[in-house]
This record gives sequence, C-alpha cells and structure tokens, in this order.
Amino acid sequence: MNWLWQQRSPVIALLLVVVLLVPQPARGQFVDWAAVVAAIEAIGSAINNVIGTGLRAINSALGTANNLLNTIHSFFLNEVYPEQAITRAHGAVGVVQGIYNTIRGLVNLNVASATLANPRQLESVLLSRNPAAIGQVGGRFTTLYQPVPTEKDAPPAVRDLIDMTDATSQAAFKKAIAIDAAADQLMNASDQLAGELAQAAPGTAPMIEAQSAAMLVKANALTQSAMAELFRIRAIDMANTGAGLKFNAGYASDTRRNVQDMFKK
Amino acid sequence: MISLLWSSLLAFLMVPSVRRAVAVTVVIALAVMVVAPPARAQIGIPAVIAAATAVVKLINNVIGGLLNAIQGTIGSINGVLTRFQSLWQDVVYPLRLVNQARAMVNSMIAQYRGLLTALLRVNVSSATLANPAALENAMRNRGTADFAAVAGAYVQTYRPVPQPTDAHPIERDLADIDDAMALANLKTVKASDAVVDQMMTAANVIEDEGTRMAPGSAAFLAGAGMIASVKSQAVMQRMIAAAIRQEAARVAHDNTVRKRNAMFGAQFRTDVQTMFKK
Repeated sequence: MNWLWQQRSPVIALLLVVVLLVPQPARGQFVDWAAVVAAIEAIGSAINNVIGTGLRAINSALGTANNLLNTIHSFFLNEVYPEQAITRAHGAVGVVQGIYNTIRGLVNLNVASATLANPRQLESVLLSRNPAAIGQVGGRFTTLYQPVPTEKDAPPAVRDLIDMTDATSQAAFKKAIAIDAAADQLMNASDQLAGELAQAAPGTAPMIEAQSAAMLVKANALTQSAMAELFRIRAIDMANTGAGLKFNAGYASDTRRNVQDMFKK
Repeated sequence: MISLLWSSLLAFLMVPSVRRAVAVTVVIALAVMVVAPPARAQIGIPAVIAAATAVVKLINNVIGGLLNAIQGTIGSINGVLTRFQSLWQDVVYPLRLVNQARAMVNSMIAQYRGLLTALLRVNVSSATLANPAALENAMRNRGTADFAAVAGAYVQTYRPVPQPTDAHPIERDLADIDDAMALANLKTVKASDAVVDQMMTAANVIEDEGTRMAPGSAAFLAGAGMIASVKSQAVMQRMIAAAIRQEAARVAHDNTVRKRNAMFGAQFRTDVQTMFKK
C-alpha cells in the first residue's frame, strides 16, 4: 500500500488511460418497434387471411365430400344392397335349392318296364345313363331285334334299308344314353351353382349368374343335339316309308314283266 | 458499545496507510464503474423486418397457392362425387324405377300366375271306357308314386304280352319291348309333370322374392332362375332321350317286321322246296 501511495500519480494516469481506452458503453440504438410489430402483425394477418381462410374452405369442402360420401353410402346400404333383402334372397335361393333336390329325385325315378329277358337286358342298358355301357347296345339290340337278313334271304335294297334303319335305331339308343348322362352332369352343375349362389355376396352373385348363363347355353346346345337325333330317326323313318313305295313300284313292275313273259310263253 | 465501535473505526480509518488503501480502492471502483461493459452485438432490425416480409410472401404465394390448389382439387372431387351420386341415384338405380320394377313383378304375378297354373291343369281327359279311363287317369295325375298303377292300367287297356304258346319268341320280345318303351315314357312323362309343378313352385319362390328385391339382391334371383333353367334343360333332355328311345324302338320294330318277312320268305322257300322234293 505504501508503494501504491508513492506511485499514485502513475497509477491514476494509468487508470485514466484505461478508462479512456475501454469502449464506451454502447448507446441505445434507435429501434423501430412499430415496424417490427407491423411485420409480426402482417405474418399473423397472412396466417389468418390466407392459411386460415384456405383451411376453412378446405374443411368446408371436405365436409361436403363427407356428406356426399355418407349419402352415397346410405343409398347403397339402404336402397341398392339392403342387408335384409340380401338375406331374404339367400333364403329364397336355399328354398329353390330344396326344390331342385326334389326334382333330382323325380328325374331319377326308375321307369324300367320290360318283363321278358331280352327286352329287359336291352332296357337296362338303355336306361343306365352310363356312357360306358354304350358298347353293350349293339349286341343286345341284335339279340332282341334280330340281325340283318342274309344275302339269300333278302334283296340288296331291302338289306340296305334294314341295315340303315338298324344303324339309326342303335345310334339313337346310344345317343339317348349319352343325353341322359349329359342331363345328369347338368343336374350336378346346377346343384353346384345353386350351392355357390346360396353363399355368394351381392357383388359375386352376378358372377355365379354369368356361369349359370354359360351352363344354360351349353344345356341348350345339348338339347339341340338331342333334338337333332330325334329328327334323324324321324327322317330315316320317313325314308323307310318312301322306300316302301319304291319297293312296291318295283314289285309291280316285276310282276307285270313276269305276267307278260308268262303270256309270251 | 456502538459509539465505541464507531470511534474505533474512525481511528482505524485515520491511520495513513489505511486512508491510502481506501483512496486507491475508491479510485479503482470509480474506474470500474465508469468503464462501460462490452457492448453486446445487437440484431439488425431491418433484417428482422425483411425476414418477416419474406414469411408473409411465402404464406401468400406458396402456402396460399397450395391451399387454393387443394381447395380446387377437393372441389373437383366433390364435383365428381356429386355426379357419381347423381349417376347412381338418378340413372343407374332411380328409386322410382326400382319401385316400378317391384310393382311390375306384383302385376305379372297377378296377371299370369293363376292363369298359367290353370292352363297347366286344364283337364284334357277324353277316354270313355273303363280301362282307357283308368289308364288315362293314371298317366295324367301328375303323381310319381303310382307307377305300378300305370303299368296295371296299361296292361288292362293294351293286353299283356302273348303267352309263349300263342306267339313266336321274336314277336313276344317285340311286344314286350314296345310295351316297355311306351310304359317307360308314360312314367317319364308323369315324372316330368311333377317336375313341371316343382319348377313352377321354384319360379313362384323367385317371383315372390322379386316383389321385395333390391337392385343388389336381384342378381341372386336371376342366378337362381338361370340355374332353374339349366335344370329345366336337363329335364327336357331326359324327355327328348325318352322320345328318342321310343322312336328308335318303333323304327327298330318296323325293321324287325321286315326281317321277319325275309325270314318268312326264306322259310316259305324252304318249305316249298321241301314240298316239291316229297
């Protein structure tokens, strides 16, 4: 302390120099608070006017969309696909399926009626609905309806007619077995479709319907095929009638010639 | 006591060395007080305002633009939804036409059901004698539990197959197969009549449901109807198969008569030759 007192002049000078050199306290600068506030207010205003208005408009538009979707949903739920109607339709399909089962029983009733051995053998094959049994038709047919006469027992024209008629009859019998088998297959297919339809959804029911339509087209085609067979056999029957007339004309001609020959002698 | 302490403090401060120390301390304290604290760096206000302006611009131009675009898109979606709703409600499934379709089903039921049922059941029986009347009744009663009665009435009307002593085996076989084909077809037709009744019942079930159907449940009924049609075709094929069998048997029968004629011819030739040999 004594040294400090003795050196007080330099110390004071030093202090003065330090005081002069140290930066003066920063004077308060001029702040335009109004501009800052205005800028902040502008942001707020922009948020409110632009973003707020936009979001409100979006919210309103989404509300409208929501209402529309609810209306459409309600329309589909209550008018187009009401659950009650769908359940009832499922029930109706079930009832119809039960009726189909009855029909299946009816069409498979045994209608065999022959009493003698040969007719029974042929009839059992004809009513078998088994295409694998078609090969047995020929033998049993010939046993019952007799073979084509031999060359010495009938003229060629008659033998041709008989053979053609037998062929058509046999073919028709065979076709009838195939048609019965096809009908069984259609019955199976329709049972399958009915089962599928009973558990279908409203959206898949038209798919089952489409497949049913396809099966119906096939069924119609098979029916046409069966009808064609019926027409064939009727055509042969008609041809036989015509052939009878022709044979009679031939016989008359032969008789006339024979009589003429007889008188010539 | 306090005055004693005060006087002691004054005495102490009067000590020269103490006085110097106090003076130096005061000078330093004054210097420290006079010296300003370092000026803190201050943010530029113009920069703040510029930034705020930029934010406002961003909000106005970018966010505002995007919100306008979103609003426009949602507006378009609403337009589509409105048209969609109008399409379904006014064009595809107009409630008026849905109700009209249901009403049409009701109207068709009233118009046709009874009439068609009556037409199906028109009595066409025409036999006058006992046996034919019995057969006619049995073959037209639409039942399937009386096939034996059909066979019995058939034999009563058309007589049984001749005894072996009364006809050649070929003729007996022919008569039996002819009877069998005819009888089988009469039975098949009875079954078919019963199937027709079942089909009509199925159609009525579908039709009844049609009076309460919704557009979404109609496909089930259409499907059921379509399946019934397949079934009906199958039954139709059975009928045609039976008709084919019958026609084939008839043609085969006629053919057998020709064969028998050939046989008779051969037999006659043999007999004549034998006669002349004798």
